[in-house]
Amino acid sequence: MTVTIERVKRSSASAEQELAAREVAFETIFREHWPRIYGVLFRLVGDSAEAEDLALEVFWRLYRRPPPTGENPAAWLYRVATNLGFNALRARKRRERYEQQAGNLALEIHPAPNPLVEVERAEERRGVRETLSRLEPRSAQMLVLRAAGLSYAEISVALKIAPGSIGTLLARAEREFEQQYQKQG
Amino acid sequence: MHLHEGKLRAYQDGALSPTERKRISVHSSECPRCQRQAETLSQRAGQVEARLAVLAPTAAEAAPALGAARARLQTHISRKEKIPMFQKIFARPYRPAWAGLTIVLILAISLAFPGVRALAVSFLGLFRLERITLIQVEDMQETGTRLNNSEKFNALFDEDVQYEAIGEYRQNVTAAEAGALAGIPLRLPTEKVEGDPTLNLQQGARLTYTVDLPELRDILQEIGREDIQLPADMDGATISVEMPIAVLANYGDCDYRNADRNGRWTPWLPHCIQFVQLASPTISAPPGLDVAQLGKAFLQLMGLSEDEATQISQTVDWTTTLVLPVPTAYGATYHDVMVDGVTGTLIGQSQNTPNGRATLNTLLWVKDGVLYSLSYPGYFQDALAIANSLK
Repeated sequence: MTVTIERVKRSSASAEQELAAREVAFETIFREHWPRIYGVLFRLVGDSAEAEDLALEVFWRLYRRPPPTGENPAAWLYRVATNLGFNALRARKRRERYEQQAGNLALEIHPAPNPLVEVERAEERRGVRETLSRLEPRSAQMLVLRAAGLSYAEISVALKIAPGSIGTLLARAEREFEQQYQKQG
Repeated sequence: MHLHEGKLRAYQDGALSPTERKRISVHSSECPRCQRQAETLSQRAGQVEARLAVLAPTAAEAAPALGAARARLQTHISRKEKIPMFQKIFARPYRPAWAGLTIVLILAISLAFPGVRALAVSFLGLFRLERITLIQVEDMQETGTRLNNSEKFNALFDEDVQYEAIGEYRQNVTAAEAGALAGIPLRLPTEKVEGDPTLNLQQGARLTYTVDLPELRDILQEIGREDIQLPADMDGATISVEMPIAVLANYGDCDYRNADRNGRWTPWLPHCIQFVQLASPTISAPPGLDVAQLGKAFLQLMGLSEDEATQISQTVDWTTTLVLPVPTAYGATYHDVMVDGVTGTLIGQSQNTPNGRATLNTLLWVKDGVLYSLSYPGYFQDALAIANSLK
């Protein structure tokens, strides 16, 4: 994550230059981070259409309002993405609970008949997401970002954690995850 | 002297400096206990990684190609309107609830900095609304605009405030559905209304925020209000605000798209009577929060002087009272009235209409844990008659 958006001092002549520079910077960030932001969101919601919608929302927010000066825009992106993703995960859980109570078990697979392997994978994914939703938010965020391919340095910037603490927090998150996962049986 | 778990873990991921790497490698080779710990950590890390790996998208589920994605983003951008932050959180673009929107906007602004006092009996105290006190303020609009334009305030909502929708926006529901989904006994007027109402459900919202006091102070500074003091003990407190699903009963033509706007912020709908009911909003916060100070800060933010704010804050019972700012900028007036057997408030808003000036009267009251709002484009006596005819 090495791109930064330069804030040029305002003057009538350079206002246009600033706009152009911002647009170029935005396109660069989009190209570099689109796949991974989608990846983070897909891991949280498990549905490609929803993941795409959320990913577009994240980049739209960056487009209309860049993060404050000095803040790494990519770090901001991952933070907003995890926030939106976990919101969606919680909403989905509530919806499923409501539907279960109403007597319709909503499965996360397409209505068309699917091979057994897809049904199994959907179930397995649901179990993992359920586990994630039970962790401390910080732990869950860290695990998802790590799974999506972010380095310690990138996670440190995205979650605003001292780089030296990542190892400890990651070990703790993994312990928490295993405990919760085993509990599900 | 054994190795710290965090360092070992970082070592396994290759995230340490060469010096540290060497130190750990040397120690590990000589220390069976640390070797065992490293083994445990490594196994668990591998296990968790394998489990999380099933979440990864397959080829069929991969991210759309860059070109297609960028095109879709452009569509997304053109479709989105520039909606002010508060409206975005609590409003839906096609909602004809112009009066309800006013109320909800005011609630949203006032709930953004809640004055709460938690009950000592539970870890998370609960604030349950019983009455509403209105305070006339001068500059709420300016505060609202400044907050809206504040990067830091918007950042707070983008990143730090957890937002969960409650229920869904639904149109044309039955009375039975409405009451069930909103969790309240549905009441409707029986006099001075014609025909059956259209019943719509307004999505509720739950906002949760863990207070970052330096962040809030930065925001106050950004909007030029460093004079407002926030209690130190609110740092780290988790505050959550819940606005339940609301039932909107519309009588007459309440479609704002038919209204004559003429550049006004609020469309004028001369034949629309709107009746809103919802379970009381709730606020949760940890006990021991310095309420008087927080309440005073809130009142100052709404435009009161420090002296006025101190005085009012000390007389208000913050556990049961929601303080609503009423802007005088729009020529709003307010009076206490008896309505539906309780003390409520009548808000009069003078409006420019195609036929000259007219008054929108809104009645606001709380009864038996339900918050009611009735907006009527006519004489307040008629509004009262409607409100008193609820069954």
